[in-house]
Amino acid sequence: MDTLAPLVLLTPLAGFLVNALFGRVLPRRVVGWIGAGSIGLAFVFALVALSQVLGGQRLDQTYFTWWQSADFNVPFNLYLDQLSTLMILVITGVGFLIHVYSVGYMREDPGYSRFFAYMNLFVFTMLLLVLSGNLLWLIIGWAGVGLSSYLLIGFWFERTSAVLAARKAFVMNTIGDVGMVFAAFLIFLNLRVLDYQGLFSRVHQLPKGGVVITAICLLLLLGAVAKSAQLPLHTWLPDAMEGPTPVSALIHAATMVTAGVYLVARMHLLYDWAPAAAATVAVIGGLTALFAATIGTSQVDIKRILAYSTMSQIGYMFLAVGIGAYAAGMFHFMTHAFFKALLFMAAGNVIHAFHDDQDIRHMGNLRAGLPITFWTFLIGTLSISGFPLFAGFFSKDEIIRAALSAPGAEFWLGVIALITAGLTAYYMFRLFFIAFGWEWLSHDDRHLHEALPVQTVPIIILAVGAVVGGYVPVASFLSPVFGHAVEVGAGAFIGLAALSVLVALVGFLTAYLLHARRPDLALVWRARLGPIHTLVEHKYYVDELYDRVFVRPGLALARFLNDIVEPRVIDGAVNGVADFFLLEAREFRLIQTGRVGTYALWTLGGAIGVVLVVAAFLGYLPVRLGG
Amino acid sequence: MVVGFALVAAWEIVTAAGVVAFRKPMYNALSLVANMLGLAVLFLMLNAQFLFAAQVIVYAGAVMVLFVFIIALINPESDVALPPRGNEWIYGAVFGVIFAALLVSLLFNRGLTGRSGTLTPEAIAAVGNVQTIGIALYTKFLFPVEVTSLLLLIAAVGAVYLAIRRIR
Amino acid sequence: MTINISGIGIDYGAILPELVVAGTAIVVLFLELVVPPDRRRWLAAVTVIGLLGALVATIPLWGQNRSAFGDTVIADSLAVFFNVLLIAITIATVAISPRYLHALDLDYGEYYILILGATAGMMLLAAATSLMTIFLGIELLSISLYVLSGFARTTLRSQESALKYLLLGGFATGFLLYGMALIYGATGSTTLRGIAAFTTAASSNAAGNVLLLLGIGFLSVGLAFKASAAPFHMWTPDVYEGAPTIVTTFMSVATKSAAFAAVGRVFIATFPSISSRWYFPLALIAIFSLFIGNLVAITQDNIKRMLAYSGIAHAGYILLGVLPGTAQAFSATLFYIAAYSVMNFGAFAVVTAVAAGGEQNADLSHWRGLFYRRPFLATVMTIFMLSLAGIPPTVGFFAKLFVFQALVNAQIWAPLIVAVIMTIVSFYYYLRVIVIMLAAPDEVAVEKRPLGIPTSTVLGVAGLATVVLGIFPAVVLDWATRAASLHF
Repeated sequence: MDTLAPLVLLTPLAGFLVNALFGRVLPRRVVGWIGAGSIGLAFVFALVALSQVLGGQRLDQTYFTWWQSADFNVPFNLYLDQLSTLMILVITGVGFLIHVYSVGYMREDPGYSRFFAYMNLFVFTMLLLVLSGNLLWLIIGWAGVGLSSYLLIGFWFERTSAVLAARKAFVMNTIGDVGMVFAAFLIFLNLRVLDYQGLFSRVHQLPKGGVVITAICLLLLLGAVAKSAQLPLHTWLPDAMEGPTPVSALIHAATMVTAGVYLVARMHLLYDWAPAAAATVAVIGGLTALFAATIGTSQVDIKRILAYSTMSQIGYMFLAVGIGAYAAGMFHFMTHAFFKALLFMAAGNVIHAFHDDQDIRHMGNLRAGLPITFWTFLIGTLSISGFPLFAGFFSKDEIIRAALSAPGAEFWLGVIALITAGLTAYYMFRLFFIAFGWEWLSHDDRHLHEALPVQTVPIIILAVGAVVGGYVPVASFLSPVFGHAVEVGAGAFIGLAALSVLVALVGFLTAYLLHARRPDLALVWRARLGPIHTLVEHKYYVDELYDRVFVRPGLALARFLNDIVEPRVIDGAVNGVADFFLLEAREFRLIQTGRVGTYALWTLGGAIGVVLVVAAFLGYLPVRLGG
Repeated sequence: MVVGFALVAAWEIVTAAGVVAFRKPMYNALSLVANMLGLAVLFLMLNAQFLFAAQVIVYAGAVMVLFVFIIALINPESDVALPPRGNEWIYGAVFGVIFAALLVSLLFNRGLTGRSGTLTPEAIAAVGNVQTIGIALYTKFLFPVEVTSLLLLIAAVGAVYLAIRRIR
Repeated sequence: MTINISGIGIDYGAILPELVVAGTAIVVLFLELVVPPDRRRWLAAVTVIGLLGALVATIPLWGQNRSAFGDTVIADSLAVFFNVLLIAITIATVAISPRYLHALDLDYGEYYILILGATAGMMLLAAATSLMTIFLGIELLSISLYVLSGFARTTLRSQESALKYLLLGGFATGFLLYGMALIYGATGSTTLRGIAAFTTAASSNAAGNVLLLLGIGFLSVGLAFKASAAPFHMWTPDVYEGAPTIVTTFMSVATKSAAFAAVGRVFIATFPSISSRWYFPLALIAIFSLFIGNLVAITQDNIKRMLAYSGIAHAGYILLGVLPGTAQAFSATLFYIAAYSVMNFGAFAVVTAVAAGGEQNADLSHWRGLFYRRPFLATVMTIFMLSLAGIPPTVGFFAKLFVFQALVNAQIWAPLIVAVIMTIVSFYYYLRVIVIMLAAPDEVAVEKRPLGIPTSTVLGVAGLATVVLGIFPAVVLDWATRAASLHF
């Protein structure tokens, strides 16, 4: 066990190092094998770990003490319990399938080895985030996944949009990182620990619901919200679709964006101790679920629809962990990883078939051309929409049930979750009907080609997961971590299940009516909804709002600083200085009117500041300073 | 004594302003000479006769004469007036006035709380003026004096590099 | 009348390192006359030998407390710490110099003399315990650097930077000297020991002495200028950009280190009793530096200017460690200075090596795809960027950690919060360099010259040190702690 965890962690790191250092000289085939193989090997180790965890073992091992002083020590310890086992299984398992898919998907890209190096780096940092046994290394992993995500969004750096998207993701995530760092600061200041074991045992020393614990939880939540693209730091995720599709599948659907859910679940003892913060988590999750789902109904870019869908589904998970249904949240995390990775990879096949066109209105009628993609996508759609017996049905139902059966205001969050379920079915089937088509073209001259087996086989495997994943007893597996969930009676179970199926059916029928049966009606309704449709289509103008409120003033500040601090590099003085030593009179002037005078003014201004401070100390200014 | 000091101080301010304000290099240099002479007078008023002499001979005499000669030799057009300034000097003047006003008001409000030195006229007279400086330079400040020689050597190397190498 | 010269404590052993360095400068001055122009590399070799000699001379002074020459200079662990650091920086600079100077056709012996002069000045500044020697140290290093900035006499940019540095440096020296005069006027002493005795004496009411406070204020203006802390940083980007890159490499780390040695001696050792009076202006300068350095660095497209603003930001971090005014905090400052010296020297040395390799343009767009053209340079640059950003496991991480820890212990919150936020902001521009180097190269084929063994060695050692000290920081921290604690 104590050698297994480092093996899981180090295998992707080895893959990264080999591909980063030698990727350019190795043959492509080898690069792909190393990239995918290292993750596959890690998955095998993770499976062995699973068998040992099922056997009742768990790990909290300090491998070395990185830094130690009187009151401050930073161990490097790994923490492997049921929760992290589930996480590493999904990360390496789904990650392995996506890597295999990438071997085919990226085969013609000139940055092949770079791609696999980044991907392996991502998996390594993500595993570090999950396996770390203390907050410092969690934050390092947290920053590491942000970095690799940044690198991968901007992978096609020759596209301006990709670079801008990467920058945006970086800025948003940085806001979250600030929150994380301050949370760790507060924890260390108040409890003098950074490792989980110590933290969990000492958290009860703080007053329950007090300012400190609430502030810690809210700051952690800031990090979680940024990483998981929840309101109000969500705008980077749709733009992140500029990265290659396997990246979207792995990082921006299956794993990294759910790190926020993991964080809250991992820190559940803290959130249990800060009810107000936990309620905030739930409200943010519920609102994001609904908010993103409505936007999803109006988009036409296949990957963006899936991105909003991801936001919405993660909203469900936040809702679950916010109301204390941690196991339900993690369950949905797992099934979501299956069907969302599947949906993204299938979408990738379609995008390839249409030569990088992502507009669903240009697609349609794909059953004959892309049969495997077609059927697997349908399975994914059914699963995410919550149709009975598919994986998504079980996990989503558990969340809705937990919310509806909870006492108090959570009930309304349950109602929101129910409405969102209907919207989910609607926008997913809208996507499916428009992009994959229901009508038959009499004459199909598009010559669509199904993807290679290396791309379709992983999708098929995930499709199996998207069906049977619902039968995995995740809740009981996680019960040592979270305790047993509240049982509900059979009647309530069936009643609520019937309700959610009904809602999903309404969504499906609406989509069928508007986008398969009577497309003319869709146009009529769009016109009728008028401004509301425009509002939704423009994503509620959040980007524009941020641009006005933050970006433009920020840029103005940067320019202001730049203009006053940053001199013109080539100014009048340059011409003058050349001959300065010849002491020609006219050059003196150029130096005098050059920037040097301005610089000296700054120094003088600073000196004036110093005099003012002295005056304040001596009591001549209304400001009182120091003792 | 105070009146004398005030007169010399005013002279110092006016000549220093002349150094930066005149539009012809020769006038700037001559203003500097005048300023250094004023400084020498201040030394004299503080009973530092040797420093007075050194100031007049070395700075006002040798160094500044060299300056004036160089300007005259290399820049025969020195009587050509410079074009008018930009308006940047206004900011400089405003900042300078604020700075000076702050300093003056602070010092006057608080009173000058300096420590009186040990070198009273009687103490200097007991040893001798030149001797006092000589003892100070070669005991208390021996090390700084030696460092100064290194400083001048390095400065000379730099000046030679910048001035002479360009001819090669 | 007799002159009693023995009473002032003549102790050549205490200043032997400085003497060796100055002596080497004079040896090089004469050798320059006889060495043929195509053999000027020998001068570099002589310089390195002289510096190694100084290194040997400085080691025995560790742990001692030898005040010499009438309290104007001291040989203690703090001085040794800085001597070792400065000599190491200078050796590394001189080692990579010949190739760069040759590439720019600047291969003149005066270069080594001036570098040695600057080093002697910096070492003197680190050992100075009197206002006189502090001033002379600063002037010695400044005058050498003024000329070195303009060493590329045929380049307008270099000339401009030298002139700007000279004029602004002169202006700042005016404040420095004015401050010293006021302090002398208030306390009647030029030695730090005498000044400290005055400030701690209960009768003198130092905290309310306007002359003393103004003097300290102006002194900090002058020192902040040399350390390029905002708002006295204005010269930095222009001079760093215009000066020959090798000179920038040298002065970006050496000047800053020496300036902070003086800051430590003046503020922490001399004025501890009135720390409430200098805490506030220094905190303001630190916060100002963090803000301006980090924010403006984001907008820079020239790597030298970017590193210049980064250096301004780091001046802020280093200053943070001075704020608590304790030995433990000052040891964090010393560690930070050492770490900064290694990583920033390395970063600029990579810029130098790229320039010496035939790519003179320091615009960041020219660094696109450097990983594929020059994998070694790009790899070490990545290490330095990560370290400057403070990302573990590099020495830069611990440097920040120790300083932040010192602030936490001293309960100094506002500057700490600014520093943490600005650190995270700084990730953006450091990582940007890495991303640019990783990007696929443009079509331009550049003539590639080999790096040469000295440059590769220096860069390799710096890169290795950055990582190794990031894993085992304890050794250097121990030295820093002892250097700082002996001082109090």
